[in-house]
Amino acid sequence: MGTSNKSFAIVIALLLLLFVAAIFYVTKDTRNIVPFTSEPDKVLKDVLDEYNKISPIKVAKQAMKNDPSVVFIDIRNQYKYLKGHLPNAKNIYKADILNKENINYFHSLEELGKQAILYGDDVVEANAPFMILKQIGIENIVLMESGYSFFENNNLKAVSEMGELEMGSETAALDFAELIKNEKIKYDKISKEEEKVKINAIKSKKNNLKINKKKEVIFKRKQAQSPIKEIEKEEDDDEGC
Amino acid sequence: MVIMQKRYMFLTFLILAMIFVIAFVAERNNCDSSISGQFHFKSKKCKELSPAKLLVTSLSTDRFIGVDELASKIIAEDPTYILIDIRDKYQFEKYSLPGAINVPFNKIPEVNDKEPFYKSSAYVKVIYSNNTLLADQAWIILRRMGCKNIKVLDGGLNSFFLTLMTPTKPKQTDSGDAFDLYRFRKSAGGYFGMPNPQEFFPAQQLAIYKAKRKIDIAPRTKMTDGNRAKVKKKVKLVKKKENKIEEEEEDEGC
Repeated sequence: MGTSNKSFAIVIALLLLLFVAAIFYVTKDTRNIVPFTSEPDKVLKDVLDEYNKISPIKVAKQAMKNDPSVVFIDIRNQYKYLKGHLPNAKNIYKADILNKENINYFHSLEELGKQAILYGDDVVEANAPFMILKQIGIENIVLMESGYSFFENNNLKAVSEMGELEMGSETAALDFAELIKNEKIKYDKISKEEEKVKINAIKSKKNNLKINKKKEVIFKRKQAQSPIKEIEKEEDDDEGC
Repeated sequence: MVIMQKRYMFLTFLILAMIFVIAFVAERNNCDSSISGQFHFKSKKCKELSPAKLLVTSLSTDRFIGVDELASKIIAEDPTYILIDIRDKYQFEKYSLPGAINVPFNKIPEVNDKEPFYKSSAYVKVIYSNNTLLADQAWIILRRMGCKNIKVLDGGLNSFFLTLMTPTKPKQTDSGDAFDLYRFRKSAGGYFGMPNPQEFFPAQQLAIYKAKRKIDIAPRTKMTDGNRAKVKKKVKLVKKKENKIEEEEEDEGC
């Protein structure tokens, strides 16, 4: 009985150990280091807010001035960064943007009162990291409204001297319904004219057939009449020999 | 004997209780509760993505669908494609792609509770707007809420109209693929309401046009005595055909 008691106690002790180990393993939080802190409604408002975007012309002006309150962040991979980047831009690849060191970097920028401007090859590439960072709670970031390709074709100085372009991407380039209407009107006109021409051609051919028929009838009547007259003429000629 | 049974019963009960607790804790952790400090007991919020996951899914450009591909799916009337227009009501009523539903950008977070097709991966939801950026932002919000199989129209309606509806004719030196694409875009534009121009006929109209041309080119035979009956017959046939074509033309213009 004593040994069974002991063994029983050992079994329970082992089980408890396993239990504690299991809980420890299950609650090991390797992924969820950073959670979202804002609801989708707030995200929406942030996105539509004008102050969260900046046009490339302003960016060029700030780059020319070496504005100290602003830091450019290039979210492309390092090869593209080495090919060419904005002056004094820091390279954080978009896949690494949730690493602890990078998040601490953003927090440190916030403490220094600086603003971070994210850019990539085009707006859409930088959009996802921008939105994710915003939802984590980093406030001092801004999205550039075009990509680095804007600066590849134009010199930085030239861009800074450009007038403000309307980068409003959400406006329709043309009135879609009007375009379809106008094209239809044009096509109807053209097709009507062509139909007229064709109908005229067919009518004229019909007329030609009729006219030809009439001509042939008249010709036959003439033929029927004319032999008699010729014979009469020949008889007259014979008389005078 | 009785005491032994009690002990074993106690043991099994203890083990079951432990298993239950472990499962409970694991559920809570893998729940990916996106709002910090909140506890959810296997609720709807379970389906939301964590920032790390969202970042990973946003890295690939698979979510973009080209204008030509979308047009071919619309023309094929693929039932698994659902078009979502995120512009406001007025723009939507003015013009929208055929079969699209309107979910203004402000109302996207409310989509979660509405239709079941957002959660299912059987339907492909294509979000489009005038341009790409707003649609992409809507994509991120929807993806965070856990909706699966969402795509974004690359270039938006602007690109749709500038490339598909009004394609530029390729030069003589361009490849055969360019001409195929031009032909496809012209015929797709015909589906969406653009009239086909004279330079590109669909098959039916081409057949009628060719038949007309044969009658016009047919040589007129001279009327001689032996020929009279045959030519009369031919004229009658030609007249009949012309009448038929005129009737067809009248029918087409409805």
